[in-house]
Order: sequence, then structure tokens, then C-alpha cells
Amino acid sequence: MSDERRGDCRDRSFARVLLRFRGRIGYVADVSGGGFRGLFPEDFELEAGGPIELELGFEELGIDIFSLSALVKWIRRDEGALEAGFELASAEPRSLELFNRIRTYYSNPLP
Amino acid sequence: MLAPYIVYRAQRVSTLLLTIPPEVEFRSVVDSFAEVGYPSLAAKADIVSFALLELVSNSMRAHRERGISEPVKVSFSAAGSELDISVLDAGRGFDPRLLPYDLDAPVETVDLLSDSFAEYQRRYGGSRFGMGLYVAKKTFPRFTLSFVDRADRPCPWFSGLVKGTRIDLGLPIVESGSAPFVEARGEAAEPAGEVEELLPLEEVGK
Repeated sequence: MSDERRGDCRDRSFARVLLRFRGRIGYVADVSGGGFRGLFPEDFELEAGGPIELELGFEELGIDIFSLSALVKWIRRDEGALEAGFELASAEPRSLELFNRIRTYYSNPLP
Repeated sequence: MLAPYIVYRAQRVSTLLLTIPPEVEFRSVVDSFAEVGYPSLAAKADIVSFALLELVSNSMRAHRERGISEPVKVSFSAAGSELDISVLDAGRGFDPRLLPYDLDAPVETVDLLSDSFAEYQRRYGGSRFGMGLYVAKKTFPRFTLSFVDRADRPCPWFSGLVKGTRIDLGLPIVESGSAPFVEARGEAAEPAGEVEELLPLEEVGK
């Protein structure tokens, strides 16, 4: 894992945004324009292919918890955790705007 | 066997102290945590960092809300069979009864779909999940929360002496055979003992 992570651009978008899905709590990582990687500490039933409704919150920017429609593109189960790739193609404009504020926050270099 | 160590910014260390002023931008804190490489743990490294960031976020919020300029301190030690971490703030503590669950209850008994979580979220205007301590309890087999007085001695919440909150966490270090012992995000130099890191970066003190 060490070598895999070194120089990996994922770390630049290592974020801290809470994610909730049916009472399961996870984290947003690897944010891009089209989606993000979700990381859940525990495994649960989730399948690739289907649209789901997630909840996100990012208090640091004053963004209240909001719903975000996403498509589950892939699933990976590892060490008891569950990772999933989420695509935001079907998200509502308002939700996308909030998500992009978070993305911009983490994308811009620190002053 | 090689003694366990932590990697921080290309240095191998046995202990690490991150000192975080409450006014720094949160993404700089996130960036700093992304630079921490842990020994091989009984949990994914990313999840460990995320859980810690939840606690740090809670502490920074408490400092900001109360106008407290003292830093939040996060210390790591990999000297034994566990990765020991403590998060210490001066945020004046909080009433545990206001949490949406019993902090002393086994974490597996907490129902995240219960009305109390929805009520908690409503109480804070939809801005908080109420999950920071929960995810830490879920991630770290050893979790102890105590309130501390001005001398950082434990004291009860109702004592009127609470200066802040201290959370002690432990996670077993596991041997990983021939695989790299440390999940490092940077190349590791020789062990350098201890590092003290004061954020933001221009205020580094070692």
C-alpha cells in the first residue's frame, strides 16, 4: 500500500466530509468533478449499479446536511471496510452546487 | 523485529505531537493528517485519520465558539503494541447528556436510525450529524473520554472545573510479515525520535 499511495494524486483530495447512507456513516475522499470515493468503516449491503440517496455535511463551510443523488459505480470490500465510487450524474443542481463548494475548498491551494 | 514507528513528513518517529491553533483553515489540518503514516494497524489508515479529524473538528469548533486561542493537541505514540493517540482541547467540555446516545454504552448498541439522532440534527439546525465521538468509538477498541481541569487532571463534568476534554485512543499494531511495516505517504528516513509539529507550517517547531 505504501508504494501505491506515494505520489498518488488521491492524497491531494484527502478530505474530511461526513457521509451518511441509511444510518451508515462514512467519509468522502478523492473528490472530482464527476463524483467521489466513499469510505465506510464497516461493510454492509450495497451493490454497484443502482442510484442511491446520500447525505453529506460540511460544517466548516457552513453547509448544512444535504441530500445528494448518486450512482454507485463500483464497490470494494477490504479489511472489514467498504469503499464505493459514486458518480453524481443524477444529482440535483442545488446539491451539486453545494458539493462543488466542498470540492473547490479542497482543490484550491492554501494561501 | 523492527520497532513500530510513525512516519511524518519523511521522518520516522516514535512519537508525534500536532499542535493545532483553532483559527487555522481546516484543510491545512486535513493536509497534515494526510502526511501521517501509521504502523500497520488493525484498521484502515484512512479510517483512522478520518475518525481523528472528526474529533479535531469538534475540538476546533468548541475553541472557536468560545473564543479560546489555545491550540488543540493531538499526540501519537507507537512505542508499544498499540498506537496510542490522545486528543486534548481546552474547549470547556460538553454535557454528555446532550449527545444523541449514551456515551458509555457499547458502540454496537447505538442505533444510528433512532429518533434521538434526528432530534440532535434538528437541534443544531441540520448542521451536525452527532457522529464524531461515535465514529471514534467505532474505530478505536480503546476509547476513553475525560474532562480535565486547568492542570489537565481529570475532573467530573459537573465539577465546574472543566477546562477541556481529553480523549485517549488505542488501536493494536499488527505485524505485516514482509510487507512494509509502515503505511507511509512519504519516503521514510531513519528513526528520528520525537517530532513536535505546530501548525500552520511556517510555525514548525521541532
